[in-house]
Amino acid sequence: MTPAIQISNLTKNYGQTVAVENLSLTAPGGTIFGFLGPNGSGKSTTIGCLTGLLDPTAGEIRILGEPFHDRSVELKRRMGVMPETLGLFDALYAHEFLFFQARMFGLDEATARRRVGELLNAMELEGTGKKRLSEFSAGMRKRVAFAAAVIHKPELLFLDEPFESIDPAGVAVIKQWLHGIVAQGRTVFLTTHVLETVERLCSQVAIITRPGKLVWQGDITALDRNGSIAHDGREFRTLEELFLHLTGERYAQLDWL
Amino acid sequence: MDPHLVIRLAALRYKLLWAQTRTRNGRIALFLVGYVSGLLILLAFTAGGLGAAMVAVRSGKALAVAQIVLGSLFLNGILASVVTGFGINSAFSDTALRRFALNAGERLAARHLIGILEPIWILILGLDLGLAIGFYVFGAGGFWLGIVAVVLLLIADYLVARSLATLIEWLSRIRGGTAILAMMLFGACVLPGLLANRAAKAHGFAQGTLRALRFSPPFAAAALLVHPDATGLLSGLVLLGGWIVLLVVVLDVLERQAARPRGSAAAAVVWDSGYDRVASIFGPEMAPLVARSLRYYSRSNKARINFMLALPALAILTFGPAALPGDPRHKFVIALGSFAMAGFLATATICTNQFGFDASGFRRYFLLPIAPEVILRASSYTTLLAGALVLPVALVLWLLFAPVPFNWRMAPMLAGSAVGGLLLFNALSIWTSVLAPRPVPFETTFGNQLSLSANLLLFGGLAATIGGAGALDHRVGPDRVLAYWWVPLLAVLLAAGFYLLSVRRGAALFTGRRERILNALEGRN
Repeated sequence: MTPAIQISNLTKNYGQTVAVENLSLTAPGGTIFGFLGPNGSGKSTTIGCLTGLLDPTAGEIRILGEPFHDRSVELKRRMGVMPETLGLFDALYAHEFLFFQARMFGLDEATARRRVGELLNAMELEGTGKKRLSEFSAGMRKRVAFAAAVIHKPELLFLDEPFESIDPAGVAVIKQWLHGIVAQGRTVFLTTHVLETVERLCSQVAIITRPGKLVWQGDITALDRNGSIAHDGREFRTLEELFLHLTGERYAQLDWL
Repeated sequence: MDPHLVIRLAALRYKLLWAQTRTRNGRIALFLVGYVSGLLILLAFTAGGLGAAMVAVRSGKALAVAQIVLGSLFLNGILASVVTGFGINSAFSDTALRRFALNAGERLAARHLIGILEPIWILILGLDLGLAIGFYVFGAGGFWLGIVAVVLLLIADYLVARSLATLIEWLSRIRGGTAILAMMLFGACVLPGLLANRAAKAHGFAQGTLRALRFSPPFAAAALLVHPDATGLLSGLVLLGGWIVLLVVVLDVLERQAARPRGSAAAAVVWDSGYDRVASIFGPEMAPLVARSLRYYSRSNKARINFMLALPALAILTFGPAALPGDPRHKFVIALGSFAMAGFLATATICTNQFGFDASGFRRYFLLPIAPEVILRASSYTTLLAGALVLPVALVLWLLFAPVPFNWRMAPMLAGSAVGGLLLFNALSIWTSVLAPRPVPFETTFGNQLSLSANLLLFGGLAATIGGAGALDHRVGPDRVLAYWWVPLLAVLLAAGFYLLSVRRGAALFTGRRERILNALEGRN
């Protein structure tokens, strides 16, 4: 299967600040790929470059086997993105926003309306016909952003912190959908700080540290079967242990707390 | 009441203000505010304060001078806060203050103490104090009584401004409130002219008005400043105290009304396709973007009020102070200038800052399968379309009601001026939107949130078009202007060329600057 994402020597600078440095990784197609790193390690910047929001300073990106820079408009049609800040148009109603998204991705009017209705029902947002997105709770906003990312049935789905603020029932629905998406050979590229979720959901993981440097990539399915991952001559039984070892983060102790 | 916490919150407000100077725009704003404030204080203490006191004492009209100066400052305080938005937007909302260990009363006190300590009110207090100290120095008033008078006046001024702002906020949320607001604003525009006209014609009208004004806060403060005898002291204090109590009650009622949550009970989805149908004329690629913008602007109180006020403003510009006496056709020449602003007046808020209302939604544009230049084109076409809606209405109203002898050449000339102006100002607005974007809260109703360059474009445009038309009328005259009826049509072609060039060049610049625009809109300068 063609790799869903191939990044070669990606660098992104903001003036003198290096946000991502010489990052190379490959996300295989048909998987849920976890992209992990501490705060400020460059995850969102990398996703910004992969989705066309940001221009890389250097490096090459191939999406679904094609060079992203040359064919960004065509490739965006095959991608769905739920950005970190959600990127909602707050003055619209949920159904108007989803309809806008569907039409921009080329769905005809009848299909767009049908899918909007189905997604609103599935996300338990059907009673929000007169409520602007600015009035939605954080969890409801996240559900709308997720619905917008999947409404055109993308081949590659980028999710930046998809489960934060969503209630357990909503999380369960989304996880079920993600498994369904992967079962059809499509790919999910997600970032989250909840490592237990990654352990249960993802088959492949990449871990980066500041500033956007890849420190580990591999298969983590063994962890889900109570196995372990060998690295640096050690056995890691949880993703958290491996993550802390790789990123140099430590458990801080405060005597007064 | 925990005064230490309240004082710490007021200090925090100033720390946050100071933090804004860490950005380039903040430093420019600080420089301008500092420069203007310095000049104003200097003027206040010379002309407004000590100077006014000197004039008052020498002319023997201390009370009248105090009434005029305090009345002007009182009105300026309201205008500066309500119209420009200085010192009126709550630094901390009641909800934000709930994070601290404050009860309801303390939150109310903290909110208004922080409000009245905003720089604009301190500036007004400085100006008022200049007069009080001047009166004391020249022996026309007591020192402590003067201080008490101006402090009470400032509190009343703040309460009036705050009540007015809360009323506007509340009206903008209720059904039909925007129309009431527009009528109020229109009334505020035309009332001074009507009153002046009436005062000039009706005998005793001015005296009656002055008698009534004696009960107003600035006149009560002036009486307190100048008459330090027991009767004056008592009446002045009672009047000012009464006003403050009344205004506190009014403000409390209005704040309770405004704080009521908007009725957004569960409602089924209703498909409103009107916007989509209108937008479909721009083709399938741009139609959803245009429809989205039309929905946004039709729901923005600020955009709606500007739109409704465009025609009254046009009438004031044409028939107001710039109109010349004598041949009524002079008004036609002035109208050539004002019509050039017609479409722009209706849409200046949105077209000079086309992405300002989007906030983080701006990010979404670049995730869509379209070239970035399509976003700018769609946005500009939307504002052009919105502005164009005003033009035929303005033209028909002119042809039907303008008190000017009809000449067939007037119609194409006015139409040409209106269309040319719309294209020209929309072209210039592309540059302000791309080069000087500013985040604007969608719920905002009043205040001037335009960037410096957008303000220059708006007010410079007004000065250039109205001033230019006046100069044309003065130097050339209506007869020769009418003889060259084809010139505005030529101007349309030139403006169209400039607009197309701006769309093309602006789109390239927009693509290159998108990360900077995103940072500006998401508050990361």
